[in-house]
Amino acid sequence: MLVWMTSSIEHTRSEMRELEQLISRIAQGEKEALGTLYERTHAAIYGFALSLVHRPGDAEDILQETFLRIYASAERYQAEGKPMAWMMTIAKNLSRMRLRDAKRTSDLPEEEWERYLSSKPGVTVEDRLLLRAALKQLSDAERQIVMLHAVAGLRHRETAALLELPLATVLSKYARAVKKLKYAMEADGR
Amino acid sequence: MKHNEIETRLKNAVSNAAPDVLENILRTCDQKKGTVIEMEQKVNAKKGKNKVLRTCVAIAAAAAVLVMGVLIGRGIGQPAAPSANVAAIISLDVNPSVELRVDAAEKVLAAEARNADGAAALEGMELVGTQLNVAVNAIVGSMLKLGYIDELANSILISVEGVEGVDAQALENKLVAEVEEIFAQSSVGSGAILSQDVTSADDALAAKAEEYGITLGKAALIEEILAGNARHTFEELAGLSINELNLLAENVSLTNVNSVGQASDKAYIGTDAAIEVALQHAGVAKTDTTKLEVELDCENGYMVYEVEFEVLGAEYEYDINAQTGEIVWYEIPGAAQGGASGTTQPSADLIGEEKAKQIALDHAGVQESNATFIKNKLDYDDGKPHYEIEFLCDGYEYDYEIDATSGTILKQEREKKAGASTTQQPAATPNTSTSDTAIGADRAKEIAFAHANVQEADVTGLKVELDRDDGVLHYDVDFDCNGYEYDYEIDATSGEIRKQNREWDDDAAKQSSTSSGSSSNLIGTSRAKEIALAHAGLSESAVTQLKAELDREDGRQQYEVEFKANGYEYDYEIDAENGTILEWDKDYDD
Repeated sequence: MLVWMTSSIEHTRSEMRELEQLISRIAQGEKEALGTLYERTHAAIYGFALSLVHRPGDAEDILQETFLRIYASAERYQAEGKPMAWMMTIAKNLSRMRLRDAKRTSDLPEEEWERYLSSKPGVTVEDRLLLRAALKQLSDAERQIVMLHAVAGLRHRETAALLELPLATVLSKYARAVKKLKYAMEADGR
Repeated sequence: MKHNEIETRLKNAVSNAAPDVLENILRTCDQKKGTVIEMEQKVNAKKGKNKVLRTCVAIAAAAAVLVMGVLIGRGIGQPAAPSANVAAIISLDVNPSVELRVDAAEKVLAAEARNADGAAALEGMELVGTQLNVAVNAIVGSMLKLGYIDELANSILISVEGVEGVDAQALENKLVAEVEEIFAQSSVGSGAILSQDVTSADDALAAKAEEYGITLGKAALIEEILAGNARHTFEELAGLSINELNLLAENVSLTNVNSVGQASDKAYIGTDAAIEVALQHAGVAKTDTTKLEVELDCENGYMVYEVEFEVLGAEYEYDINAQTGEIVWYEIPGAAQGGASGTTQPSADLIGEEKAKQIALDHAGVQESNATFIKNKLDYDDGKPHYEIEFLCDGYEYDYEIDATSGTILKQEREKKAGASTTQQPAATPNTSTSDTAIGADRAKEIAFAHANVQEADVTGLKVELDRDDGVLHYDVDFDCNGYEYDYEIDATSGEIRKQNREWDDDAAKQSSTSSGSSSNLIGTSRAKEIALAHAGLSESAVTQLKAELDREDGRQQYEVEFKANGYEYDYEIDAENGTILEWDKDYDD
């Protein structure tokens, strides 16, 4: 259990510092630090990877590759207060490579999703509704933006830089995406 | 349902759905390490050399494979499957980034976008098989047509990387002439062309380019600018367009990059307007100032005008958003500074690292000889100096933050390391019970109170919860006392303290009657509101839902000021003692 006070979903500076400390310990080969970093960030990386590659299996691979890559390149990480953005960049590049290699079109494998979700005992009925809404009702860009801000805690301007989109686009897409999710949940009476 | 509720729910849903692959990751690391060490040992045996094995060799090797995988798209010497004989790689960067691979006869073997804008510029074009000059014409033409190059942003970067035997410089010159010609015939007239030969760029730079998803050429340009101006970071510059980089390059002298023409600054408000904004804010007339200087620069990824001047010997400094004219940071005499500034210089009267270590050891009741220090560092938490001291002893990790001037313990944490066998039970722990039944919430509370040396009557906000973490059933005991916030994790079976944390808490301090030294000279909520509104350039009447409240983060007091105006939501964190803007955010508000 960790004790940190987050006033919003965005990461605080102290959290970022802690992540940077973990990365510098990883650079020295400390696998335990890799484990801690994993605990704190894997959901965010998975969510973002999923929003890029769509298939749960692919996202799992990206998650794994991202951490191997983090372990490998931690030495080169320069502490600039944006460790999350750095990790997300790695995940993004790996995801794009995978999509390019596979020459995959971005169709949404709904059945795969449903199968995957039903195999996870921790996923509640409500979780499933929300994830389904995120999958079906959001555009690719909206989904990526929501994952980066709401789940990974990136600031909107960091998201804009990462996705190479104007800040205004990110802000409006984010607002629209959250609204869509909200309606989806309310329509369902949750 | 509220906005932030959706965010929290989504975060939880993704957390619950995320797979657990940590074991696989760690195993893969181990396996790779194992293999490489074995190989190295064979080599050693043969040559009889005594090499030092780095634990991470394997990881580095794995990384090399990954990086190579990435570079296949562009790497010379590793021809991509269908197209051999790459003689040169040419990258064109504007904001769109495009890479072309050509053979010795300058025939295009591949054309690839390196960012989203690049993909837009290449869309619908079949360039493979065409001559390089035709392809460059088509691409630059497309960038002009799509408005990536116009009179507001007229810069392009041409980078050439040649294989051995190819005259990359000649190719560079030819392309510059080609693009000059295209510009001359366009509405832009004369553009600004940066060009370079990146044949000798090293692997580190290539890896960096890959890491940030930019071309090798752009990475090389950024390195050049950084070499002349160390204030910036690579990451900060990676997000800028070539025109912006070209404008920054005017402040430094480039050695490897050739520059033709003048980068446009027409998208910006201009130096005169920037000066006016600063003078108006400072409330001084231009005639009263001396040493007035303006420079276009970049701060946190934004282009700003840095305006500096003096009035009667006192210095004023402003950073003004070059596009909007908004003041993003300022430092003026006798007042608080706004925006994120540099760190405070260490003052002479710090207690010193040794003293800080001693304070931590004394508090923990650990002999220095028994402790393994893993970290001693002077850190500036938002400009406030403190020592971070971490050490291991007897299977526990101790983590202290000590105020570097007063020696006060700001934060302390003790955590049992995973897998460590405890040889020492904390004093307050009862004799280990062998029974599987939980000790009960009351007993857990007692243990925590005894350890913290507090009386139940003195504590507030007490919370005791049974929880399970890493498969271990434990009680979470949280409470506030005398201005500190305490968190304990107590093993529900043995009563052992698994984790304890005590942190200074200003809110608690305010409520606590026994607290002696709660800060007194705060700037007040109305001053905090004023500072935020002034920074946003808005009057109080122009905003709605103006709120300011005293809060605490990282052990310091701050005002959180929020308001809405013109469809945006503003959010400020302002140091409660000196009025510095610690953080601010402007967000679209639906």
